[in-house]
Amino acid sequence: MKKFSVLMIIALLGAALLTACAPAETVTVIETVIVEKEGETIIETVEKEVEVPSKTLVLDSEMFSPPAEQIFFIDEILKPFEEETGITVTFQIVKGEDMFDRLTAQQATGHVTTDMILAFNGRFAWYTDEGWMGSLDETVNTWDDRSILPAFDGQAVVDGTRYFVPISADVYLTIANNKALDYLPVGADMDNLTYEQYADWAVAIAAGENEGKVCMTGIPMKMWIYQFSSSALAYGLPGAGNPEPAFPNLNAPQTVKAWEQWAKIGAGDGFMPTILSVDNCVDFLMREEAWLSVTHNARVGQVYASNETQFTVGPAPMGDTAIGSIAGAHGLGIVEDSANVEAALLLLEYLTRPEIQLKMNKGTGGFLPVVAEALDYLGDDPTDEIIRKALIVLDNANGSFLPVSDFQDWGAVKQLFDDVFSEMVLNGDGTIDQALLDAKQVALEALRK
Amino acid sequence: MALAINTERRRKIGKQIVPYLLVLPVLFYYIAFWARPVVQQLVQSFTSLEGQFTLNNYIMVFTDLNFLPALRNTSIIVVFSVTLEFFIALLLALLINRKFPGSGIFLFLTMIPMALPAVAVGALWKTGLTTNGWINSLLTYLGILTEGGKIYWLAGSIWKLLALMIIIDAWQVIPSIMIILLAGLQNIPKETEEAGYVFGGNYFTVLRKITLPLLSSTIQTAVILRLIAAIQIWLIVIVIVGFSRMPVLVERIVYYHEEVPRLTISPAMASGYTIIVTIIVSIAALAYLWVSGAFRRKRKEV
Amino acid sequence: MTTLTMEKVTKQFGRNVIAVKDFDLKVKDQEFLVLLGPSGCGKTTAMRMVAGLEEVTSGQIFLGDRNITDLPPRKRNVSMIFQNYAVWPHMTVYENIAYALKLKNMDKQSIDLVVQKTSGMAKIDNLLERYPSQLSGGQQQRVAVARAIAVNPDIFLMDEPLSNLDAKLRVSMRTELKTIHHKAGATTVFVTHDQSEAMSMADRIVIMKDGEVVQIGTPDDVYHRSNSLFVADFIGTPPTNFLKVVIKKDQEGTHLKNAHLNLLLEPGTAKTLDGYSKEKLILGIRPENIILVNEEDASLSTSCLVTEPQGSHQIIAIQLDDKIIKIVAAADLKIKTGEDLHLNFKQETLRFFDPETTLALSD
Ligand SMILES: Nc1ncnc2c1ncn2[C@@H]1O[C@H](COP(=O)(O)OP(=O)(O)OP(=O)(O)O)[C@@H](O)[C@H]1O
Ligand SMILES: [Mg+2]
Repeated sequence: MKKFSVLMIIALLGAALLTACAPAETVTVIETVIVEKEGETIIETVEKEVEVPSKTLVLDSEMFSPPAEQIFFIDEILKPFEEETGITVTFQIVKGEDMFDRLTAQQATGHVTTDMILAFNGRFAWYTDEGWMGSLDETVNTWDDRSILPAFDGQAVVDGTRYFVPISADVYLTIANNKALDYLPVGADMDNLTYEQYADWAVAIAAGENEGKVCMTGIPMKMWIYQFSSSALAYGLPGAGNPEPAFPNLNAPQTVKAWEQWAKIGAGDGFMPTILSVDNCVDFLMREEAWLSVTHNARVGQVYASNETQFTVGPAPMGDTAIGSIAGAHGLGIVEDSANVEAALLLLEYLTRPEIQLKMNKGTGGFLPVVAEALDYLGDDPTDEIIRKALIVLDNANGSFLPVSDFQDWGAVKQLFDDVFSEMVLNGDGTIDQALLDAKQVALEALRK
Repeated sequence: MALAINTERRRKIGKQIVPYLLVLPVLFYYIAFWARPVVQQLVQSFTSLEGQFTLNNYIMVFTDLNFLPALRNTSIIVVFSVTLEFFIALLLALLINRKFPGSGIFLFLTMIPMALPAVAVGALWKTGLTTNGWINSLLTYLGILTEGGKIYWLAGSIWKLLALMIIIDAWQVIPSIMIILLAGLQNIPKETEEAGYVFGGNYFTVLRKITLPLLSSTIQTAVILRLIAAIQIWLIVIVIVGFSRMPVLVERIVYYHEEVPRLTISPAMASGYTIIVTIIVSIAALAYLWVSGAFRRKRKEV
Repeated sequence: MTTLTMEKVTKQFGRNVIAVKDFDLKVKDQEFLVLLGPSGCGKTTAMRMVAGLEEVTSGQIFLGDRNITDLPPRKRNVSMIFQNYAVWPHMTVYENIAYALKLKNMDKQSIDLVVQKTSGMAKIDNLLERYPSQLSGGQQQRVAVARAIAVNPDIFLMDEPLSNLDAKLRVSMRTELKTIHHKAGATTVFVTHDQSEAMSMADRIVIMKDGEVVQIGTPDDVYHRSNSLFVADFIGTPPTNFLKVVIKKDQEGTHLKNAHLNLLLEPGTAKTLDGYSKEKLILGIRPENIILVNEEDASLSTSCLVTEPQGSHQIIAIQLDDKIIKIVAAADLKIKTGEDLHLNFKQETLRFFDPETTLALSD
């Protein structure tokens, strides 16, 4: 017993000594310094050891919620940053609405714990309207090694001031099981597909296979609104933010042209028989229950990477004007009242580095980097292929962001499109029910704030 | 003398108070964590956005296009699933209670669904029922379906999907009912039933005249607990068909609360539906207490 | 009423437990037969096979000339009184009695009549509307009895029906059951492990051990003419005293000897040993058949270990080596602990057992 106590005391003393002797945390940073030499002023880069107080940064994110993406982001992206800077990043997945509620509470109590948010571009306005975000111009303007694609500036920059930096984008792509290629209409080409061809193709497959093979998310309030609206944009429906009619829209002439194509597929039994219980096309495409889909590039990437020899990928189809695609992005913003603005800026700089951009967007399933220079690093594995096709869409598409904050509730908006799908597309006779569309449009307008 | 009577009386009163003192902590708990939110909901359900008293919320719920379908679907699920679950569970319990060789393993197997969370059950069935899922594969393997033949379980009318929902719910819930019934059966002394046979009964007369009457309080408990749970079914529904396609009462609450929380009507709808479900469940619970005799005074007061 | 015949009935549970083995029994018409044996010897199992609640492994059972071996219980026309009564708690006394009658599709009036008659016999005719939970144990017992009589069965089976009653009630119920048995004239098989119950009620007793019949006979037979060490030991309180002896023959006659005893057998008694060629023997003597005598008449002299007064008589215990021998003596005899005792035996009551087979030598 005595011996044991003595040992314990020695151990404790040892531990205390060790702690006392531990050096303050230092990191090596590369700094540019101006040196005056023989009358000239030159700029040199030197490596310097600097002491950094160990800090914690709280990042709330509505992106990367699938566990695999989350693990990749934390282990492969955040960890090197933490090692490099000594900053500990507390990363939390929060739903869009909850994130807003959380910040509301923090602002109301003056107790700001969230330093940085990674939000969906359709919701940037929620935060900029409240004036909670800090300007990022000072930092962003110093970057000369990277240029941010301007596609999302509409939401990220308000009155000339940048509050968000998009770090990851997504668009819509076409994916087909190679078995479907036998039915591809003559003259059609996956890289230049039109919605007429897409519809004919779908009907031909259904007729040949005795079973519809087109996948969309039949479970309400998932992705149909985007899958459909990409086609409406292809027929010239202006993107959100334009004078009406603009996305989201149910009854404009451009939209009706898109409905016609989908109604053709519905009347030809081109959709999977169990379409109304589909909430994500990935499994169905992998299981070959579905052969054809226009869907989100990350989903397409996931399927394609599972077996690239079995699938063919192309940009989203064209309407009578251009490719159409909903384009979304997630961007970083820094809470103005945060106590850790400097650390947050370090993370912002890190995540926008071109090589990190590519690594992050590839690793999490084939999202698109938003920094142009990242594309220099593209190779030719399946995910690179997806990113290339997605870039075609991002560069050429008549696109639209999601004006989520213009509406009382985005879920309710989504549901209107789902209603039209089940009533007119799936169970219709291939004709357009303009009265239904007009009625739903009235309901849509009623949801506008 | 007067003093003696006094202490005597005081003792009596003291004795009567004891049970009330004992439930006091529970009562506090209820007021804090149950009654308060319920009352809040109730108040909110009668309050307009401007803070005035209103019946509008209820009018809104009752005139909601989804209200009657939700009520109808919930009723169908409750009636059919509880009936189906009860009969199958009873059958299984009677079977297992006969203690045939291997009945222990059989009991274990039948209990597996109970251990799975509802989400897992939904996922399991959904991957099974889909066109290229394991149920069709199994049927093909067993030769019930011809090679390449398919049954579109998840396609078709709302009635077919409702039936599917009922079967899935039954699959998960039957074990728990069965356990309750089995416990009840095992409480019946063996001789009580044997006397039934000796005095002229066959299996069914003994079941009808002796076993089931003796099991009746257990059956009431099982059925009404199940009834209350069935009224609150929603997760399985949204896993299979999502929100709004096959509305049921609690699904409506979750819908307004979680899916479209920012609609101006959502708080009113959510609280209206909540109160309606609470009322229906309370009625079921009261019915349970009533038939189980909790309100009856003891027959012999000592 | 009728006879019950069991032929080579065997019951095996699982692989190892043989509860009843090669059970042969003939119960006469109107007989009150008692199955007696230690706990676990298979009494209940034997009776349940007659009722049809247990399948037989092999053998046959007949009621009269009906082979009932494979009939379900309801087709056997037997009735049973269970140890825990097994009255149905959700039925009134009336409904309990009427259950079997209703199943026979008897009309309401006849049922009323039978219920009145049988409940009268069982003295519960004033309790017909009560539920079992409102009855005492004895009253529930009577309901079980009335229910059993009401069906007018070929045979009554009673499995320790009195064991849950208190001692006093048990004794008075014995008398009542006997009376009812006489009135109903019913062939009855009664199971008990209480030998005084068996002795007082039985026309004949079947003594069982480890699933087998050891002896069948009247109470008198099994008590006075026990056919084995087991029966002699099992029946009687206190049980038979046993003494290991060797047989010595000389000119005086046949002596039974051991360290303490030197008993000269009377010629009549000695004849029993005629066919017996072994040297060793076990002598059995009931406690009441040991008598106190003068020193010169004694076959055995020792001192009193303790006395146990019983009111009507007293029991004197003596110790021979490590064995306690008990003697029943008149209550008025004043004997003190340690006092010298001189004993002899009533020769005509002696039983002799072969130590190897443990069976009695036949007279
Ligand atoms: N269902 C059964 N399964 C296995 N063994 C059994 C079963 N029923 C009885 N036994 C065994 O058979 C033997 C005889 O049992 P039984 O109940 O007939 O004894 P009993 O003579 O009635 O005893 P008691 O006087 O204690 O009631 C016992 O060893 C018992 O353990
Ligand atoms: Mg027994």
